[in-house]
Amino acid sequence: MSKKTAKAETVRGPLDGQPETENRPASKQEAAESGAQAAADFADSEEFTYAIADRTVAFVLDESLYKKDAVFGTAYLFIEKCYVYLTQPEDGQIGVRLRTRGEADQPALEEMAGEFVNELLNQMIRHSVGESTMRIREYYMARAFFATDTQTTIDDLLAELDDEELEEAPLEIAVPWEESDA
Amino acid sequence: MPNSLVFVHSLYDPAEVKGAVEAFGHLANFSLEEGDGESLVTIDEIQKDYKDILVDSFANYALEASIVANRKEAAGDLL
Repeated sequence: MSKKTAKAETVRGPLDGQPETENRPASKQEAAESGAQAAADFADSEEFTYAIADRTVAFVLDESLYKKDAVFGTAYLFIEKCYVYLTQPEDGQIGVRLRTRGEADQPALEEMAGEFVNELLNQMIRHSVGESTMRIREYYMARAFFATDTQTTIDDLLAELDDEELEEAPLEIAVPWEESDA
Repeated sequence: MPNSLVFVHSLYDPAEVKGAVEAFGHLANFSLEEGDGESLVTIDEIQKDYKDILVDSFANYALEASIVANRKEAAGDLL
């Protein structure tokens, strides 16, 4: 199985001392340059390493970065597309092996690995949003199912209607037409 | 030559691996050994028609069943 490394390209924006930043205050510009440098360092240092063999691409994920639930969510989607086998090479790691159902060349295998990691990030975001909005969802569910305030309000309204003396209405709007004719 | 697959219990539900062995049992000769935190499945004498796909399909089946079981467990009484 051959080993490949895909390195992210370093994308440098206008924060690298381009004319757009010349008029910024020094502190903001320094901060922006520092951020851009950090991003560039990250892009230079972070590598996605995978191994490719016949119809197979394999890589290892760090469990401190990718939650197991997110890996499961991604794997569940890929079970439809290919054969998925998970291992645990070391504590805190999840090994992923994807094998195509039919013949596949190297670019196709690389693309499949990339798709898996992209979907993994998508699942991570879903998980994160789900966690951050969990309490508000629970609150609304609890209000919808268990609140008694609504019932009390309806009871109050009905009681209020009962108390009204509709017969004394000058226009007799509340009196049925059969009775008013009679 | 027999194929061996290791299913670690942190990723695969041992009950679901056992269920997969039962589901695929008529297509090959399976042996299941429960080890320390993992299940070792050895597959041999695979029927000729399924030789190319059985091992991978078995692993897929065990994974899907384990994920479903994991989600049910996480959902608790809601499901």
